Amino acid sequence: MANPHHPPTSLVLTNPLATPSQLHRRTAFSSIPQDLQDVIFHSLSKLAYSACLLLELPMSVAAQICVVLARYCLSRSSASSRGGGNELLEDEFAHLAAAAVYTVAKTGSHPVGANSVANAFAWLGCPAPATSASATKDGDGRAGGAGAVAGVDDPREYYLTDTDYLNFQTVVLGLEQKILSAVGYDTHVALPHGLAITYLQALDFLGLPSESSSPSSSSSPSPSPSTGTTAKEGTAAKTKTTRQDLSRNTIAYLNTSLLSPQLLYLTHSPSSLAAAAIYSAAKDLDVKMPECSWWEVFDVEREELGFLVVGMRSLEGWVREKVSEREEDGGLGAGISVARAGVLVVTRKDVEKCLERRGVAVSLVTGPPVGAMADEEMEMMRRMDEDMAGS
Amino acid sequence: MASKASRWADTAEDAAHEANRKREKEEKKRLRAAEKARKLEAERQAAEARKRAEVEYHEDDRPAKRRKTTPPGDGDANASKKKKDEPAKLLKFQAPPVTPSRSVDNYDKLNDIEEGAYGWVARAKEIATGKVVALKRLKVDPTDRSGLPVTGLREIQILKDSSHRNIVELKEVVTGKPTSGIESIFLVLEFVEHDVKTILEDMPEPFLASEVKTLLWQLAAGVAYLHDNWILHRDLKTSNLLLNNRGQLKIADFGMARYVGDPPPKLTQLVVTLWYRAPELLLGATTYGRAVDMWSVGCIFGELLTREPLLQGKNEVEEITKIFELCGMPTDETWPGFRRLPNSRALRIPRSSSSSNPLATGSVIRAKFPLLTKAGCDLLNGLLSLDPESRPSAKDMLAHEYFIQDPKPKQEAMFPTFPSKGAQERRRRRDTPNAPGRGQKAAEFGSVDFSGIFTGRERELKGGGFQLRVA
Repeated sequence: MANPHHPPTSLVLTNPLATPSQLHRRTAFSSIPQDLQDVIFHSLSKLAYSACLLLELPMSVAAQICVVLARYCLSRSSASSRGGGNELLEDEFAHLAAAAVYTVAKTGSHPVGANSVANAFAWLGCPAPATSASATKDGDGRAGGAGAVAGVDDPREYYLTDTDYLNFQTVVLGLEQKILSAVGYDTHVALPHGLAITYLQALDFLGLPSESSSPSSSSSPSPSPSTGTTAKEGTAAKTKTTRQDLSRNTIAYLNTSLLSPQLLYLTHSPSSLAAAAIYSAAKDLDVKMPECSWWEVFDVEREELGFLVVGMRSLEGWVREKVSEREEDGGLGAGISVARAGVLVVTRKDVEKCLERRGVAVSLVTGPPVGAMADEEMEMMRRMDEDMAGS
Repeated sequence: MASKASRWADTAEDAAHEANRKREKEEKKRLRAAEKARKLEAERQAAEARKRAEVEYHEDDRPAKRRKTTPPGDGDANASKKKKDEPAKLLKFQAPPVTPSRSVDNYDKLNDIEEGAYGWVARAKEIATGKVVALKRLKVDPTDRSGLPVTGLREIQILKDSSHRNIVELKEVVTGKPTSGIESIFLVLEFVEHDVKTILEDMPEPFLASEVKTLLWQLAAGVAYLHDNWILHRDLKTSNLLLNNRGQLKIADFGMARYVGDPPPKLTQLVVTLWYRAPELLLGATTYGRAVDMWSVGCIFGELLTREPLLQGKNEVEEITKIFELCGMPTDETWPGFRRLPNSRALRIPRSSSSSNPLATGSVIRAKFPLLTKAGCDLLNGLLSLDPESRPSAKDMLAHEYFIQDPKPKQEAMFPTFPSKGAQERRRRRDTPNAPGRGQKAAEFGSVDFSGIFTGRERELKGGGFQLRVA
């Protein structure tokens, strides 16, 4: 009889990947310029990721959520054959992120309630779906987040009423099926993290001295992909690299890549991601790597590795650039606001404003007159309520 | 049709197989010879190339260096040399694309299989390929404030994450036309002909010992895979075990299943069909683990032996009573800590029962299964341990002596076949008359017409067919 403990490698080593035509359609036919799409995706996944941290979800679930979000973005923005517009703009980004968190966590080992998700997103500076009341309450809906950065923590800014919860639930539940249907209900994600550890072992990198033998500086044990600091965190100060440094750095690269607008998790297999993260981490820490082309052992081509390494390492600079060009004309302008926890929050309104400034004819799928966003949202919620009531 | 005279069809097939095998063997031989010749040729060429290279790049040491690493004169030198010379062959898996769900219109419904509490299942045919599948519709309650049913989503997630020969395969998820704003969702599952429960109900005599072993081994293999991947099934029972015509058992219906972490999260105790529910669940434990599935496996083991569910309680109290009747009363020795479970206070269990009379209150499993071997009894006893800690894990179970001893598990291919209910195949009628009851009036013959006595013959001959039943 066959060995029952042998999972077919395809489940562990493959993820659904974007097809070239999907990537092409995404860049060529979308009504949103590529750079805006990039910012939107980054903001989405960063929001979802931060919410996962707040909700104390395991890293595996957070990563799964980010990948599912990426699949959704790809599926929606490349399926624009019907409209010619971009269906990503149908929904508010923060709500998409919230729905992804709620839906994916629901099936995993750590389900969270919709209200907890609502709280997390409120704290991150994304108010519950705008009712007329809450829309007037805090202007464009991001005042809370901006205040928090300045160090003022006013609970009133992220307090949610029962109505807020209800609205939030309604929107999230409506998006739940939309997301799942767009990704073909395929929420299985083969994560590269476990592979990376195996590869580190195989390369004998874990034979480096352990942290316990050489007392380390106080580096936080949880690797987080806050794009600002992770990659080179706490390495310069130390003389000797420990194996914890290396594995932490590797995992940090993997987590950071989740937020890459290049959708690295949708263009490369887990084994390539793992190899590239190890390469980057080892380069950062000046750990000696084997001189042969060791990546081939893990079925990674040299070119692919190079591409991924560049992709992974460029993210930090890219985010800095986006943040610094906030006020510039042509960029997202005032669009990006850095909210609590360093999350870039982009709303649909921002995207529209930006498109307007650039002189692009705004042809949104839902096509409301610009500036009537709140009304449009009300309209959508009304429609949704009708649907709920009518069934 | 498959069931009819399957025995004879088999032999004809066997002959064809035999011929095939022979042909394949010869083919392989030929290939091997060709390969050898090719290798020799390659070697010769490589040697030539090396000579040339040595002349050409005498200064540049890289290619020469690469070749030097080949150990000369070794048995497998050929293979390694070849590898070094060509660019490395990288293993690339075909990755599926990211696509939205297809429409259910790609499938043609053939017949309903069942309409359960959880959903509706039908046999269907994929129009493009003609492949027969099972379609399972998720019940979506649009008024539910927690969105799509978590049970359905978990089933999708877990089946998508799982790939094992003893776990039913989820091919894709398709959506139907939106009715009242919400799309209906269908799971496209591989079609498996039978479920074990129906077979047990219909079979005239129980499974042979070797057949029980095959089924149980496959069940344990599937459960071991799930547990390895942090999945609890939480509703193992014979009606959720499917069996195909090749003797393969598949675990199905993951509506209750979920991922667990370590430390185990707080879980609901309202899982597992009552007759298969572990005693710790009945006593209200909220932190439980893989052992609850192993208890169900034990119940299934018993059911495979007797064709009857082992512990048929009408309610929770009766169920736990039946468990104690079979497995003995729990004591602080046999189940440390059971008194701390929420519902155990309601039970009035004598504290010193075991010391006073172990025979009267101990397990009667050995007596209940007199035909089971000692190893089999040992396994069943272990699976039905009251203390979840002392139940074997699925992995332990696979290594159990029971599966090593004679009779060996029957080969799956040798498994008897049955008419499929789901495929609407005609099944052997088995309504045997009851024994005459007391006080019944004796039959009077009256006038009897014998002319119809042979008309049913043809049908009879086609029946279940002759089966040589050997262990």
